[in-house]
Amino acid sequence: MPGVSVIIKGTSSGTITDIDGNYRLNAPENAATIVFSYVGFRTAEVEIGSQTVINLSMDVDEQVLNEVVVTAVGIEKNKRSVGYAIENVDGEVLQQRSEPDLVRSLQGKTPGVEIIGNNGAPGSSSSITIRGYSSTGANQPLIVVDGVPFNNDGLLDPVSASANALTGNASYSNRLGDINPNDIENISVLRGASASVLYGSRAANGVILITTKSGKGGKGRKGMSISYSGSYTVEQVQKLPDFQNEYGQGGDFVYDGGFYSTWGPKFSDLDSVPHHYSGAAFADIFPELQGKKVPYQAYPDNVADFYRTGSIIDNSISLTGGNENGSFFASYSRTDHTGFIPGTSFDRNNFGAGGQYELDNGLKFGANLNYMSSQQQSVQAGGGAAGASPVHSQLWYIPRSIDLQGYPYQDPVTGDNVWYRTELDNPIWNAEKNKYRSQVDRVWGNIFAEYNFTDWIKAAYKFGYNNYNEGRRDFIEYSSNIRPSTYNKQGGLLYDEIVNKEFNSNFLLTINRNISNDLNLNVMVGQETNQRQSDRRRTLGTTLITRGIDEMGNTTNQIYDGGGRSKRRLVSLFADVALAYKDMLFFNYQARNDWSSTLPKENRSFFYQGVNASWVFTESFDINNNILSYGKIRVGYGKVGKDASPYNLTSVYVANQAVGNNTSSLQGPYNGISGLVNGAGEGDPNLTPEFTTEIELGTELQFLQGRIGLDFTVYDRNTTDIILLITRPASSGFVQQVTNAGEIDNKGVEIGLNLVPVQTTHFKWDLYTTFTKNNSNVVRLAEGQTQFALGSAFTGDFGSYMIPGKPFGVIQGSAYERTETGEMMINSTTGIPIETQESQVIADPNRDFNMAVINTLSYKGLSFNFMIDFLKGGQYYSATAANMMSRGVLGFTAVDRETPRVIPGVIADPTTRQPLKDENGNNIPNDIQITTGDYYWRGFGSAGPQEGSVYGATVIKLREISLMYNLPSSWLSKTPFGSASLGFSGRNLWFHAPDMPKGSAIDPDNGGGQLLDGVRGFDFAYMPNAKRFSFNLRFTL
Amino acid sequence: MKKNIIYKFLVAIMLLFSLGACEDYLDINVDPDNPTTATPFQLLPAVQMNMAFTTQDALNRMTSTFVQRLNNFRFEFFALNGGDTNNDWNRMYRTLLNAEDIITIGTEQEQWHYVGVAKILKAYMYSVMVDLFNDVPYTEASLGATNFSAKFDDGAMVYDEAFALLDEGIADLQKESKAVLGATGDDLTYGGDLEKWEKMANTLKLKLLNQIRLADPQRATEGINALLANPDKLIGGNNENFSIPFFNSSAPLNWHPYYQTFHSSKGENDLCTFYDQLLTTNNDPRYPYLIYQQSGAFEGRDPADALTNRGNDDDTKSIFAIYINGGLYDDGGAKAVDATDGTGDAPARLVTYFMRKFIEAEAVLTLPGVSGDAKALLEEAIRASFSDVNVFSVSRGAPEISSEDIDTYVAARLDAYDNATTDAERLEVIMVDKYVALSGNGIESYNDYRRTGFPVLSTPIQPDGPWPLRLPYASDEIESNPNAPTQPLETEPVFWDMN
Repeated sequence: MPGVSVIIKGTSSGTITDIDGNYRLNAPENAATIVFSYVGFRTAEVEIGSQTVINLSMDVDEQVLNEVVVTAVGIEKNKRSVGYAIENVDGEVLQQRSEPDLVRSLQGKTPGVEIIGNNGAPGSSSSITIRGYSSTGANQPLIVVDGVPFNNDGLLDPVSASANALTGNASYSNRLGDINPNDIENISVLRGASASVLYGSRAANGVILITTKSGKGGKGRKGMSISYSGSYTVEQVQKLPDFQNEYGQGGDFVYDGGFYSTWGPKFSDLDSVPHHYSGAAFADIFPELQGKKVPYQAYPDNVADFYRTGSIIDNSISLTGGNENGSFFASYSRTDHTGFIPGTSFDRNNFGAGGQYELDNGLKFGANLNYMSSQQQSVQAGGGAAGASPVHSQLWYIPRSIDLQGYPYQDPVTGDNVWYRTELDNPIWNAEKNKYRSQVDRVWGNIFAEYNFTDWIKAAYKFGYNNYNEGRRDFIEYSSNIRPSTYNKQGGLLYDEIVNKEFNSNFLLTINRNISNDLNLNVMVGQETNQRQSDRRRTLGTTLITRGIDEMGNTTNQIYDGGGRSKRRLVSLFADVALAYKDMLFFNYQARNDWSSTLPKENRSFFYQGVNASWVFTESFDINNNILSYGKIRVGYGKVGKDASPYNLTSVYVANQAVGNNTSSLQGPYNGISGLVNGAGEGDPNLTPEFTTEIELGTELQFLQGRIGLDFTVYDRNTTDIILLITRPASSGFVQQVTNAGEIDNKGVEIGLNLVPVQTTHFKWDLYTTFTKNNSNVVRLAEGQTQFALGSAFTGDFGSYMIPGKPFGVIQGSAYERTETGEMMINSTTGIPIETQESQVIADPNRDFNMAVINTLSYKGLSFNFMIDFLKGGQYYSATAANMMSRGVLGFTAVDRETPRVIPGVIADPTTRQPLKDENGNNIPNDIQITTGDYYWRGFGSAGPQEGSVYGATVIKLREISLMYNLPSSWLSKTPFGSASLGFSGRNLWFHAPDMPKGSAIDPDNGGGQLLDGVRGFDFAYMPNAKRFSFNLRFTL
Repeated sequence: MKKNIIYKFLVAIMLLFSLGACEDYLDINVDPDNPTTATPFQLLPAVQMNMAFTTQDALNRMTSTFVQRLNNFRFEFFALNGGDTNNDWNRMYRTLLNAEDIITIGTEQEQWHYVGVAKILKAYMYSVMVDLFNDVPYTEASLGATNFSAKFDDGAMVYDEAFALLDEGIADLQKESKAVLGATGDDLTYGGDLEKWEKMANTLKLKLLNQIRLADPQRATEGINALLANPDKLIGGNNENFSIPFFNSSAPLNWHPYYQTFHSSKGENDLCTFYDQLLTTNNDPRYPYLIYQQSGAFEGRDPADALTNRGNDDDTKSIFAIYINGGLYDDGGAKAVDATDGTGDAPARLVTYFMRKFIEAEAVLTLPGVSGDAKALLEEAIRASFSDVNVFSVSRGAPEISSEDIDTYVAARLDAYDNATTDAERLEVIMVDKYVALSGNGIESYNDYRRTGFPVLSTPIQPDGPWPLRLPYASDEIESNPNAPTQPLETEPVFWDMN
């Protein structure tokens, strides 16, 4: 067997077996034992005695795969004793896979976790949910890094007079992106409530326990080692639409150089057209272009050429060392990411260091410190409503006959925006001049001490601290058309400063004692105190003084645009009692009491508990044969309480609050006079915590000596008294209130299946499949409340909602008016479908299931793996796909374009909304002919009901592929390198979304720039993902 | 032994930590950034401004579209729904809560002048709500968490309460107040002038009485006569107008909403051809102060014209001019305007002197118990309107309308009045002029049309529903208030609309 570690016991000297399983070892005189170890096989120790050649074969240890897991509170446990669903992900599988973002690198690698990347901008955020959405607001799991909670804010551009989720920028990052994936040793995912009782309120949606290499510690071997890992990646736009290149700009086959659409004449029908800048409006800017004509032709690459080839250069170097008393670790890494979208980049520097030491008296202590600094630069992205004009809001459907690259994009004298539409920014100008920049500096670390009083009592204390500062500059250049009511084409800057600090103090006392021969008792009692505080301030500067300078001093007027401070504290006491009988029957009881500062005094203390049990029945019935080598059943019940956000108990007055809408608004001070108004939200002095209760049943089975391994879980999770911002009738004086209302159910199945179809001495084929299915249901909301809008920034009634009886986060919008039998009602005068007056549920973004298959083939030192994701079901509203179709740029819209069409349906009266009847009283099938343009545009496109822009979201993708070669030890023995590997990897290389409009190239697994808590399933300005290909190198010295 | 002590010590430490759960450590849930109490002078500015904004913004665009001054594609086809009125209903009731706060806090602190002004403003706001929505929550409104299911009170009853509020308000203004109104510049409308507030309250009463003259002619007659008996307690000139100002500032944004929609974010609104035709037919010298023609000729839209494409007309369409939105006087310059053209500080002209004269003319003509010279009142009203246009526009750099032009126009209108053979025709002359004089105030013109049927509007071309006699209730209120009624039909008239 290659790669087996052969060590002289008690030292760090040793070697690794080569491809043929041979090794050479120089053993000193006093060497007594050699230890052979390899993952998945039983470690063997052999006395040297007087032998000079020692050969052996190793036994597969089926029960050892994933043997040790890091569980609640960072305690390592034997997986067999764990009574709830827990999954380990080794750091290796996240690294060197062409994905610099930690959250996205986790996609598909563990069941039960749904991860959606927001868009293709470097550094942009991802959402991560476990077992569905069970509340509004933050639904994400608790992230714990090295035993300390780790802030994973993904603060979006705020709802304010100047920007909101629909019109603001959407390239913002989330803080889990601050960790360098190369620093990850191991990730443990705790999915259920029974697992989360010990982590408390913030773990109501699961826990992701990250252990970093710097935090791992452990007694080291003597000596030092250096390791390096690096990769060079190229990236390009993942996929581009299949455009038609037969017809040009205009409408109804008539050329018009001012149109958005491409419904103009065939290219063969017209020789030349006026240059788009040859009219009177451009006489001053381009006098030389006056009266000029250009050939009327297609520019097939006008969109493709907008993008460039990006790159990611990733280097990490780390140092580990130690002796029998302690160890230390230090690392530095740098990522330089230049995006495929011009004007985007993300650079990150990470420093980490840590160490621990054990004194002779048994006191062990250590510390760990990390510093991260990142700069993200992006273009205007996001919703694209009301003059927000992100780059991608028009790029993919600009007319086919416009030479985007050939035309000037700026005034040659002033540098101002020039475009054939005066109310929009030229996409190239937009990407180059309007910038979004974010600078994040973050420090996190901890100190800890452990002491064993006896061999069965241990105390541990850990204090962790976490602090980040983020400064965002959203810069709009002079002459830009973005957000005209705020900037008036004179440019401006929105500067957002965010400071966030957290500390966590955790004290744990553990007693572990065999109370009889067969029974082991483990009791843990702990106390935890947590404080989180934040400070945010936004300043809006308008009317730039000098072009191109994104500093507040370069603006003429500055006003305060909102922000504020917040602080909250949580004090807890918890206990965990575990009984193990003969290492085959396990019982665990957990309880916790929290005291929160955010709830009213009388409701401030809340208690919750959980219990779980597991039975390794193969031990009881003494089954251990070649068919079933390991079998375990586990069952768990847990309840977790969750507190509210701060300052929701009373209403407050707010100064100079802006009122208005996207057309007009008003904000104080008024002629210098300031005014206070009642805030929009009434407080709730009777707020109580919300509780999530969950029952979970699972089994772990291993067959055929580890050739088949199954981890199967079903769960039913119910959240009540959800703390919800609900709409209140304005007649009360308040329009909303944070209160307890509502109940959500989530039920599902999670499967992890490992198959090893082929295994020989040198070759192994391993198939790991994860399957996740979650069904959510909003049981009810506040009394009398029929719906609750998630996210507050949409126009009209369109948006994501919680509606009783429906899955979480369904999308409502205008729909096709239909007969009882479901046929579309067509306007008898126009031949266009009639749109409903009231909104209806038009899309459900929830998936039927998510499945991923990871194939790993390894032959001697070569390892090849690829991951295929199959995300089935769900619906996706794509304004971008609908726009492309409506504007006539997609390939299929050119087919039979001259032929009139008829929309299938029945003729109806638009005033009465009833179908017309013939003389026999039957409905009349529609026969009104309309143009192809109207068919796509008003029938099923952007001018039609919003229901027409909803498509099936099923997608199958080749998400990851990698080929790595571990250099054999025989090659390295004469070099200073201990190990080395190199290889290639790729990501997002292919996808197919069968239900999206043909050739639209839209991946419904993209957040569309709209990801908010629970708001998902649509795009207004689709920003594509990148496909990447990397060369990777790794070695240790 | 030693270990025993250590165990005890450990337990003690843990208890100590969790005693940190003791109240002090967790008593930090007070918002450090926003106050929980306020004083009347802090609340008054936003009450005035938000009230002004709400009457000048979407509700104005809606009602102006109904009476065919404006053409907004969201409203011109009628068939409105609760989503259209949501923002403004919410904002009005939030402002009413602030007014209620002034009354409560002011009463406690004996700041009677603030209490009086707040009551007057509250009466005004509720009267507008009834005019638009008929039955609205009143007795159970503004109670916060105490009542999230306010019942809807009869429109007529709320009007009664409004009358009572006005009387109380006037009485409060006479008391000794512990705080001086407007001392910190908080009275943006009248600068703390108590007399003007009293006059405004009385003139508002006059307006409301005239409003209900079809439903309760006796009360209207008695009330109006009582007010006319004390004319110096009514608004006596344009310098006493209840016109809440907007200001020339883009950051913070203080511009008049019509300035924003026509100069800044220029999409969405056009002017209606009916408005242009009416002004042109009457050779109205106020035309260039009301309409600015960006292309040099009038370009507007017909009401509910679904067939004609809108196109990109932002820079060529005709827009409101200086008197209405603080923009430009139309000197024929035919400019594509932007946010630097004008000052954007036209006020919300809510209760004015010329409005008073028009109301008197209407009352004299229609209520037999009210005596007076309707024709003379009409002339006074028209001249007062011209005076207001002149004073406002000249102060912002426009030329004044010459007295010859005014005389010519007045003579023509009085001729038309004389040539009218019936009272209805005479009323039409009055109302047509009132329609022009109140050009920036869509809500009042919407009231006037429903009450009188004048000016006779053109037929909308392809509406999706009937001409609305009322607005739909806000969708949020209907959904979240268990005592809210079902959405009424838009053909249900408000209580004072007996036509």
